[in-house]
Amino acid sequence: MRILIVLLTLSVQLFSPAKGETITLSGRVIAENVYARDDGEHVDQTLIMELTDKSGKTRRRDTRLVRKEYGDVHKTLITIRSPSALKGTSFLTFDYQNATRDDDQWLYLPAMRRERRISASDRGAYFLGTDFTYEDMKERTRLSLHDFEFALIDRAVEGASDLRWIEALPKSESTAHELGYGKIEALVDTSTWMYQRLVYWDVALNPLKEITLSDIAKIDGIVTAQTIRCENLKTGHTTTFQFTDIDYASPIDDRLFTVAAMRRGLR
Amino acid sequence: MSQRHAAILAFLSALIVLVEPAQAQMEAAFDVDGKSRLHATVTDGDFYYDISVEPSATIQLLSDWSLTVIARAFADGGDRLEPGRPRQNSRSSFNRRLLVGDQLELDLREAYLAGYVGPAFLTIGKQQIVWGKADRIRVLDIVNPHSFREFFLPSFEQSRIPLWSVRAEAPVGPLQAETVFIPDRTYAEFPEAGGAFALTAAQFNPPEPLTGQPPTLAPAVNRRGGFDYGLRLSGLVAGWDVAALYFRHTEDAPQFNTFETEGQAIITPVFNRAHLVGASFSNAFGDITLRAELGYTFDRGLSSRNATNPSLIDQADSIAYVVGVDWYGIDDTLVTVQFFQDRILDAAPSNRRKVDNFVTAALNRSFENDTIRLGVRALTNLADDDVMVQAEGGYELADNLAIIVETAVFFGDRNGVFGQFKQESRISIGLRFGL
Repeated sequence: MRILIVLLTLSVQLFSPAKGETITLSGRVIAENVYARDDGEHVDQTLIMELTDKSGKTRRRDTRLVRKEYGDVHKTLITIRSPSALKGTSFLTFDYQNATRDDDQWLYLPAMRRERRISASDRGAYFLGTDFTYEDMKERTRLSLHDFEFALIDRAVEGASDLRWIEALPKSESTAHELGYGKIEALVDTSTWMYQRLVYWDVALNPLKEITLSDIAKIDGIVTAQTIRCENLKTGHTTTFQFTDIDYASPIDDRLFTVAAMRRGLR
Repeated sequence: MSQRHAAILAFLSALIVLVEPAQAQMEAAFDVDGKSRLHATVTDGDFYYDISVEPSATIQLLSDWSLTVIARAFADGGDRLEPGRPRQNSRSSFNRRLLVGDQLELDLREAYLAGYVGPAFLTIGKQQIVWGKADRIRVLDIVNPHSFREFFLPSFEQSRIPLWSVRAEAPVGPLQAETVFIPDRTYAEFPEAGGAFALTAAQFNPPEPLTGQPPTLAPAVNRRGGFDYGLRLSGLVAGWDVAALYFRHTEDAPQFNTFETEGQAIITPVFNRAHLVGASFSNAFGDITLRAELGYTFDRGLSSRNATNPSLIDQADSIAYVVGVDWYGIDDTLVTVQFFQDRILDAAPSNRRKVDNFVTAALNRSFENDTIRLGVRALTNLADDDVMVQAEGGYELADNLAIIVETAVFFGDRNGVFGQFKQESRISIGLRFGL
């Protein structure tokens, strides 16, 4: 499937019209291209989470995140390194690409000194007090092709960038309730196939939140957003993810992605 | 050279070997966590406070090895938990707290080296080893003993007594094998008479002499019995977290033989050797996570009256299990219910029931992006109809500073597991801090 999408992308680029002409890409094809964008078979990075409430009070979590693809299973481990009250808290997820299979998730809490199997069904729940949901974390701010119907709604040009606005509507009411989203509009840069901005509405179609990706650079040949900011439009709370020490090249030890290794966490 | 000195020397030698070639690349992380609380008892309105400060350091030695040291200073402001200076008889000589006056103690909580040797991950030193999947119920989580100076009120992480031990973990096919060897003969710590949470319920105490004679306490038997060791296999099988284990151990709490002759009653604490075979399972189904663990104990010790031999106690097999359900149906909320049964087979214990049934229920919820956390938990013994209810609220002022409000209330008969502490029901306010 991924190969098909890449071929489709190549064909679009090969037969791209001369400057000034309009390319007609459907919302679905744009979403597929974003989904198929190479984001590395594995990555090791530091993730600083800044959580700011509407009064300006900021809390900070210093974490390390490793991710690796094993065929149809994407394994991710996140460990909190500070503050000390949360230090050692780890979250391990096995994300199965087969949409019919629930992911496996475990949480290790140092205060309990043991890992806990947790439900993966509540995809719309917020992750570790941030404004990102478990689904946002799993999809790495892409939009699941299984959950939404896509439509192209607008085209914009900013400097040299050729941008498209697409709309994503949940395929069913139950999916909308599960995710907590009634509609999403996303701005895509067709030169990188990366979302630049995503605007979310809740199930009742009230404005919910807005995610902005910035500091986009090629690292180890992979287009990467180094800053992702999410503002909750209802509460005024914002979360900023700052990625540093991003390493797509160095091999990652398979022993990290085990429930037993969660106890030890990541340094 | 004493056993204590030999153990310390071995640990330091290992440390020097690991540190010496790696000084140039050494990294260290230091943290300090603490908690101070002011308590007020509900019945008497007495006020008292406690302060706990826990500095910790993790030092990277070689690329795959680290040294972790965690200490704890604890001040019991009213000297209520262990009045005076506790004798620490239940601890081995190299696992004792340093007592500074009656109210302050310094404790080396953990000190261990950890790293890979080939495919095996070794942890060597004083540490906590946690088996099992139940919350605040111990069926398989019996490797480390606990301190009961505040009964069940502290988290298990705080009440567990770390032991000098060696743990090796290695993958075996799709499973993870874990072996533990524990030379540290430290047992559960019970507050002495006069402590706020001294155990008065019958099942924790020796059978009373039938003749009404005032008993004499004899030296404990088998306190220096064999070492503890065990093996655990765990893994993810068809979506289930499964584990199976065997543990050979000296039971953490002594059982008692009440020996009576004409005009004399002698009570002898006996540390019993037992075998535990157990298994645990957990899996998620939609909004629900199911957890279960089962333990079968061979030759469990039971307090008894023995007219012929004062050093013996009864033994019987027993089975214990816990089934728990976690429900995640509401955002930011976790509801947990557990049922626990402990059943003694083929024997009639002299100071306790053959079957004990407990139910626990807990609700945890966070608000305002985890700035505010609330938790309520209840434990009840179905036979005695007594209950312990704990509630805690926390408000995070900054990354390392939170205000906490807690309450613990005991209901039921004064001879029940929880009812015995009715007079210790309390409300507390405090700060949790870190550096």
